Amino acid sequence: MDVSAEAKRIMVQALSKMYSSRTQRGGLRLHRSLLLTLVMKSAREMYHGARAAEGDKENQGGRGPAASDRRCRKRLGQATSEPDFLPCKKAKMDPEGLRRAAGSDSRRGTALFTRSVIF
Amino acid sequence: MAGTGAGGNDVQWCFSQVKGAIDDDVAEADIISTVEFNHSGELLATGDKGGRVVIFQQETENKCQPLSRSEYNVYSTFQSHEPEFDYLKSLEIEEKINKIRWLPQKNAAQFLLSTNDKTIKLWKISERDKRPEGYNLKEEDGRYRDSTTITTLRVPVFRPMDLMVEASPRRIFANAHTYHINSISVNSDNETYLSADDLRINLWHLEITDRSFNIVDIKPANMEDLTEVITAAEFHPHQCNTFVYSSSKGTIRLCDMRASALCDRHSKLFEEPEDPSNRSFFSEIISSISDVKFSHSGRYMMTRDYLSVKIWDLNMENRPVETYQVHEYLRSKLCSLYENDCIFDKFECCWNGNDSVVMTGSYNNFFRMLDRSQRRDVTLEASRESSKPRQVLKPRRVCAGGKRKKDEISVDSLDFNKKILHTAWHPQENIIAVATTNNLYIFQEKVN
Repeated sequence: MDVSAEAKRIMVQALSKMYSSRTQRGGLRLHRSLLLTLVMKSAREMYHGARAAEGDKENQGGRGPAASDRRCRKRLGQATSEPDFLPCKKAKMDPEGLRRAAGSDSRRGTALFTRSVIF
Repeated sequence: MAGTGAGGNDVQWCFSQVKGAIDDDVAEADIISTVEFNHSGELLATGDKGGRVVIFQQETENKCQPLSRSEYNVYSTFQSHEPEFDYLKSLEIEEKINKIRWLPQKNAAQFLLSTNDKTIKLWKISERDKRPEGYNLKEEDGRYRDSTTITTLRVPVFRPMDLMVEASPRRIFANAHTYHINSISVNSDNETYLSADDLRINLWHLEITDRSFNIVDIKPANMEDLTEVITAAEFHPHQCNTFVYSSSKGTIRLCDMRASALCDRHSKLFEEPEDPSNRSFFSEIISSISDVKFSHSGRYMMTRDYLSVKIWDLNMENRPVETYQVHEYLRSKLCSLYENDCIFDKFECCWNGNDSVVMTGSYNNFFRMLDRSQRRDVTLEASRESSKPRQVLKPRRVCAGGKRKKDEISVDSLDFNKKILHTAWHPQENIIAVATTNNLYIFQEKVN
């Protein structure tokens, strides 16, 4: 829970810093934006890993394959809903992009935010 | 080399001077953003967030006595850069001076390069200590004389006047960088220099402003694939074909311009594997290199990341030959430093004249002297409390945990708003310039 809470806090702060850097004098700093994106990626992976581990613990013992399928669907369903750490104003993203972003595809990890900081 | 050039623990450092306002209320424009000695050490230039350059000159009175005290006084002040607006992108371009680099002196005048985020300027600083007098057609104040009163002809002569130092922009190198310039470096050929931004490095000729050659381009075809940026670049001090650039991933690439016109493929890659036991959320941030500097000899280079200074031998790529922890006690505080943005601070580092000691800044107005030859280090502080003339600086100690000893300061008491990001070391003598937020401290070796 601690890891998950810390990861969530770090993600919230990263988003906040990224939004505030848009109004900074001199414009967006690419280096800073990239570092925030990398922190965001680490924290997100940790967050989802911790949440998945909690989900595993809750469903432990006496459950068959059908239950694990339900668990998978449940996890997928959670990923498609709006993450609770996002502020009200968020970068536009299609549902497909949200599902991809919530997954653990590390190759596209930075795409989530570099898209919004490209200039 | 004149002077011992040694520092660290054999040398006792004394306060010499402090420049800048005493007020605790700091005007943002007065925040010092770069400090640089010229090649002789006679001149010391500072740049600030307001786009101004202030040059101090060492007094020459007692220069014949090498161990005497010499003071730096204001020599010239000028507005180098003004705020601009990029209308296409609706972005303001800050006037903050990111870097100053001196050109080697060729004649009576001095030249320096100063840069903000987008534009580099070549400034000529020259002295005028005489002026022509005795014009036939003009009065001394410039008014034209009544031609009917002119009955004789005379040759104007130069007469002494009060010294005037003039700074004039000789070249403006603009419109070559899409991203923010972080480095400039003058080549040893004294004809070219490089400028580096987050993704590209350009090579310029000092005489030519309307074009530059792109020599490094790490911009990916798809910006979504961006994984690292360039953080610093520098030419080798003697080999005009060689330069290095550091990255946000903690790597340094050495490039040889003879190999190809575009140096995207490095000749050497300096990288140390990460210690897995130190892995954290913030590993990528703290491994980003904020400064890279060649030694005067050209055999070594030094890199600064958030927590450490590393010395690399150019002949060995797989690990640094020396690693010094600057403020390891901050490793357990990275989360707080991330919250207050301090983790993004970019510290610089510098070598002393004979490459035996390196120096870098820290928080609470502390700065660190790392003696390579004796493998010892000392922490000193730049503060108004220790600014009596010739007052010897006392070493400072930080208590990382446990019982705090007398004279130690605990990590939680450190003032993270007081940071020393910029330092410079006189090329020949034991004189250092240390920039706090808006003050410039000059310390010298204790003279008995």
